[in-house]
Amino acid sequence: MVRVIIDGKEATVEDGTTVLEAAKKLGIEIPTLCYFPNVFEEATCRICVVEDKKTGKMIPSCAFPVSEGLNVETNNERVRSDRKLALEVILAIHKIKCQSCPRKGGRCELLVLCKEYGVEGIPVCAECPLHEEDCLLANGEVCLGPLTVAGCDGICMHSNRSCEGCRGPIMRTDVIKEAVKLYSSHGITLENILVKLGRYYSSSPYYDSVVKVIAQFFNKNNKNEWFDEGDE
Amino acid sequence: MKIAIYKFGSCSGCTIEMLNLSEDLLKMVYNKEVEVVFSTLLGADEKCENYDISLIEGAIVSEGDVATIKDIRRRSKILIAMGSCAVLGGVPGLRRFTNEDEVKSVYVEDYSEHKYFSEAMPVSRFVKVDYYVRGCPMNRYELLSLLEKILQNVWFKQEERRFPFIREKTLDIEGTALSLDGEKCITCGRCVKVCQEIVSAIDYINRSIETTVSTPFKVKLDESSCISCGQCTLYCPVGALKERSSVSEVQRLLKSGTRLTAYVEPEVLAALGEELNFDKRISGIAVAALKKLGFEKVILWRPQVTVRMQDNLTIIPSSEAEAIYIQRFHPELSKYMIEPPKIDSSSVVWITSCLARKLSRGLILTTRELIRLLSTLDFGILTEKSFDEVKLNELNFKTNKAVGIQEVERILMSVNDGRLREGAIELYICNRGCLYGGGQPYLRPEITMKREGLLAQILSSTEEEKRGSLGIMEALF
Repeated sequence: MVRVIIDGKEATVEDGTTVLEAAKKLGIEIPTLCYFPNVFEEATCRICVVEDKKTGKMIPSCAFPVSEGLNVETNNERVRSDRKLALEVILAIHKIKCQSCPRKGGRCELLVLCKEYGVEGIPVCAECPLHEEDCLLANGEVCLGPLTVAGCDGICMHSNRSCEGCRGPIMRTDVIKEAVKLYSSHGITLENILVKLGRYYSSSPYYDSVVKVIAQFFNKNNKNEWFDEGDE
Repeated sequence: MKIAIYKFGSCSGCTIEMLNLSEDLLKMVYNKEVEVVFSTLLGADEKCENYDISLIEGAIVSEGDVATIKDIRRRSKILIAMGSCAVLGGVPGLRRFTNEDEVKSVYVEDYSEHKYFSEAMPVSRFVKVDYYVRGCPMNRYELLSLLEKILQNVWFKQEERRFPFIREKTLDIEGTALSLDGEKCITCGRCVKVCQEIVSAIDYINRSIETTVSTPFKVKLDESSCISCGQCTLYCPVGALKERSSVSEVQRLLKSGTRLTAYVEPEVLAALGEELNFDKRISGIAVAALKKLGFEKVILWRPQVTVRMQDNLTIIPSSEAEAIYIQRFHPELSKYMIEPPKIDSSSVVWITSCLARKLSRGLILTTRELIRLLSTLDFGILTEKSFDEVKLNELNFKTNKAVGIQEVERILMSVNDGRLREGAIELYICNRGCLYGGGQPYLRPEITMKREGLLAQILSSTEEEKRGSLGIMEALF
């Protein structure tokens, strides 16, 4: 048995338990992404990092075994900003294709974490309850879901209304590119989108740059020239 | 914690949305955690030099506003922009597209007196904003959780930092029943670990940023050792590994008015009840929901197999996965094996917990796809209905059941050794059997499993129903 301190609370746990399990016994929740008890405990995502107060090092709690006198903090500013960085790195290698994702409609673990840590890169489509044939774009409606920051639980789509973009644009070229591809595959033109796009953020500094990027991608799409290099 | 609510060019909708928190907000006020010291809408106006939190609603529309917001920033520790108008400029920003003279002609003196801008601008244009709460109106629970985090001192200021999509070489691995999307994969490794225990069809290739999950030599999944059991799809946290979806096909058929019959397995109902939190009532609700979607008949059933008993030894694969497993890893035993269950009809949708069934022809929906299909339904208005038919015939002879890859392997080895020479063997390759098959809802570490109990309840209630109806028949005669 070893004694550990987690967030100022003292606990006596068995030798060999991980920091995550010890924290769970104390009622402290640490967020995880890749960790799955008894199946996967290899700490590849680094969402579960905690700070070791003695050495000042960041340790992955799901794989790190406790030792005598270990003192960790699980939710301070440094830990939270490190988790945010880990999330951003994951989003940088995860192509946003929420429209066709089987986990859309509130089952995306990544989105839950992104909301918690204020990372804005996932569109409203990830929360949309409508699937495939029911998608409002397939019905010819101009829905700003693919371009808009998620976090509203797809409240408009729950009553079959298209997204108005009130939460603002996602400022990532690859997201906009996917959105434009989607729009043009449903026969929606640049003019259709511009009518709606300005309703909530026409005066924000983002508006002009977003319009510019969208127009650029529409141009490319019309000429059928998607060069993957040079776009980003 | 002293809170001030300031309003600029906006409709006050966000303040009202905040008041809709009602009890949660009152609780915070009663516990003296927060105190609203300034708000025009609430009529609060206490003399107070410094605020802990300022909530700003509305866009900056005039020169007077600029002076006020700068003053507020100086006096408050934390400044939160609340709602689309404050965050992005919002609806007042639309004046950008209007003619200024026209506006002047409506507001006349008022317009020049207040020195209005020709554009409405977000708060962040003039002062530093610590946190944004987006939406029109803003989501009140988002604000509540933010306030709670500030009270517990576990929050940090939002920074703007964006990474583009940086992967250059990605790899898509296709297959008949399931596929791997390399662009979406975050290389967490869950699928590799899970597959290693079954058939080791996938593993990492390349290094560093180019690391991807792939089959050996990047061959298609059908050509690799993959048996399409779908266990990997249960664990993939981002949906990179996914089934070939039949949702849109079924939706199209239902829209066009084709008469479809749904064959539902009891395992599907158990998982559905767990996922949607319906417990015992799930059978009735699921039937009502399927009928509402447009299915003509709903039948509860288990796949039927026909066994030729003249053979000494019969191997019964529960799905295509086991059949492929035997053909690939124990080809000498395939002569004992019968065909996996099948439905050959274009008007039947088989709703199953097994992903490998997608290898056969016909319309196959997994539990996950059924949940997707049901996602737009309002379950509150449904009245429970009973099944049109129940076909749960058990095999009328004793079989050896092998559940899980280790047990399947052990029993096949004993057949190979000659220790087991007669009888029937049922094979279930998924760990813990069909209840945790590859087509079931995604597994999450925190969820508590109650499928087993639900399945028993569903089966016993259908038994009772059968007995009940028999009893009535007996009474009639």
